[in-house]
Amino acid sequence: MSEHKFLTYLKDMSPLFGVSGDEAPVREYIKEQLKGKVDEMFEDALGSLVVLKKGKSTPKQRLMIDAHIDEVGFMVSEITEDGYLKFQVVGSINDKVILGRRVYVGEHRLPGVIGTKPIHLQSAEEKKTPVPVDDMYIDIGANDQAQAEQYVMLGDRVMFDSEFVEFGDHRIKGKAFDDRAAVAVLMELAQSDLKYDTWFSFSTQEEIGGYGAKTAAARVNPDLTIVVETTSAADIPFIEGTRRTCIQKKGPSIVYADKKTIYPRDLFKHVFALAKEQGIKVQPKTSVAGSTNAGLIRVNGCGAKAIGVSMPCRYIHSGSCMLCTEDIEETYRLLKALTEELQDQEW
Amino acid sequence: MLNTLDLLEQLTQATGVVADEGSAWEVAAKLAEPYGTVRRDALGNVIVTVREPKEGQPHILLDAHLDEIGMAVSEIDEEGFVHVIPNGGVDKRLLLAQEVTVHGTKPLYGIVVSLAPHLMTEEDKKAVPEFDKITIDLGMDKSQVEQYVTIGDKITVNGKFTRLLNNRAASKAMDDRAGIVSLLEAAQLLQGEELSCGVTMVFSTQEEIGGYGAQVATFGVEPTHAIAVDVSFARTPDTPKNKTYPLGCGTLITASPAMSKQVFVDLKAVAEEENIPYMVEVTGAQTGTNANSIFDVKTGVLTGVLGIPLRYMHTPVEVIDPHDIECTAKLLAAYIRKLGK
Repeated sequence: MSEHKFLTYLKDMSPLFGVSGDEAPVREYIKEQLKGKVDEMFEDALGSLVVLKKGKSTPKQRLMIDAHIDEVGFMVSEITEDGYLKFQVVGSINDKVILGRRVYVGEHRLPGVIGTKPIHLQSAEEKKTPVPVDDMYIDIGANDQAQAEQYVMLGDRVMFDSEFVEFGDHRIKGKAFDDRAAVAVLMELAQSDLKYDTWFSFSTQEEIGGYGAKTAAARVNPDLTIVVETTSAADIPFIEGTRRTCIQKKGPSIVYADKKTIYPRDLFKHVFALAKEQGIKVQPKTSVAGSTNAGLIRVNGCGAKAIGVSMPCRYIHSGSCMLCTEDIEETYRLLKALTEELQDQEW
Repeated sequence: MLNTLDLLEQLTQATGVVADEGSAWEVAAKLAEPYGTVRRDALGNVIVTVREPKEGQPHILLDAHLDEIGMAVSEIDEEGFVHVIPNGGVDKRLLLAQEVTVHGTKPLYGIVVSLAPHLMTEEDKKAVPEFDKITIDLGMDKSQVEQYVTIGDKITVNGKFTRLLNNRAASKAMDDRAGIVSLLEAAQLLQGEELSCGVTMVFSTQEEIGGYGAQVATFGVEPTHAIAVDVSFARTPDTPKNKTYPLGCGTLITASPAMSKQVFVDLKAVAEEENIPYMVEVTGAQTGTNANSIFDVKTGVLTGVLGIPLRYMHTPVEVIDPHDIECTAKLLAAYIRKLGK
């Protein structure tokens, strides 16, 4: 890859603990990297980090570019007499990608596994029925409850044990690429020379509703926002047509609508026009699924107009998020181009 | 004593999917070298002559299987996704989004394809995909994949070796590399001792599809006695109490109508004499181990079974307690000492 820093940032941040509501390690990493290289940094009561990078001039319209620092994961909800940990899911994770995984429990990263009844002991019915997450438990090897309690507290966050891997044709895999790939892009953008003053929000609690973006927006009061995300790329076998949602290697997908936001038509069209002019790959997101921080940012104060830019991520909300580095590069180029001209126009 | 966890890590992280025991046989053969002469037969069994058999004396065969469950490539589709078939009892319920290795001309990293929760229908959520709907993403197009992958290449689910509390560990392929570790440790315990009996270790192939390796190895070795060591079901919150045994309880001595009652009684007596922790596992039929393929070879072999309790068998996170492996090794060594007096 080129001289870009985003891949290094992503590689560093992917393994960090940042399950919603407990994102300190990610926030501290960003602060450390941006220290002295941006103009202002604020951390708010919900843990969101708001950064101002001054450009050559102050524009008519105030722009806030958002990415979230939290990830989906789990919380310990019970320690059983036998020393197993019962848990609840934080955010949306399908049960089938939880069974048979290695996890880390708590900030000291205690290793554990989520096993299951051996196939030999399963009934015919059990073999074809997914195990509900409420029936799962984490095995840390403890003898009993008393021993487990020496290492684990109720409420401790649990995350997938998943290493950063580069493989195939410009592909990378890791946990929490949603949304740290976008965080990494914004971190690089915030250190570049910008034409206009630009605000960045590294927001918390997106996976449980977007509250961190709400408080960040309340501080910045933007007129415009670009919410940078990863989204489900379903360009996989047995999925056809618009349900594929977006395709890897075709650049970031631009969202016309999701479950919380219908994006302004003028901005949506403008992104495609600008991308065409500058030779940047973009594609429309072809299914209306999920939602982003745009949902709360656009109704902040007197309102803001939003653009949704989402990188095509396969196996999102599992321990094996997969991205194409070319799509991250195109996302960086698109954002850079937007910061050059978006803010000086009335929308 | 050898370091049980180190041995386990080396052996479990090697690859040896049923009928193509890949790098696993080389790792096992190298670890066995200090204890005897090593050869392989036509089915790939690793056969270690620990003590040459003597005319008129007992000759014991110790078996643990080398192969592990996995999958094989059945098709490379137009977009480069790899379609699969299972090799052995693979649990479909835990495959989605797992990290795997496709063992082509070089090991290739891959991910089992899975639909994002945002796009799943209620039907999708309730269903476990059949193997004809399970595919692997290597992040490459068809022509790139075909440079490295051929139909039939083996696939393993990545199950990193993970140390847990109380010296316990999780990994893929504990079934039955844990058994191999117990054989190696037994051989080490007996090193330098004078024995009148013959001792042969077999790290057998193709157990997961029916015990074919053990069958032909026994035919060639012609033992009088045999003990098969395999993993057995450890108790967990979701398993029935009457078919499972607590992790850390020691070794499991199996009572089965197909196995030699004398061997069972002797193993139990030796465990008592030597204060080796054990429990008795009772099975009303055949044992579900290689012993089934050993006991009736030629004119029959006096055969017993020792079990090592294992949690989450046939998953990439099989959990074991090294104490149970060490107890198994001690009992094997003590039994052989008695046999070879």
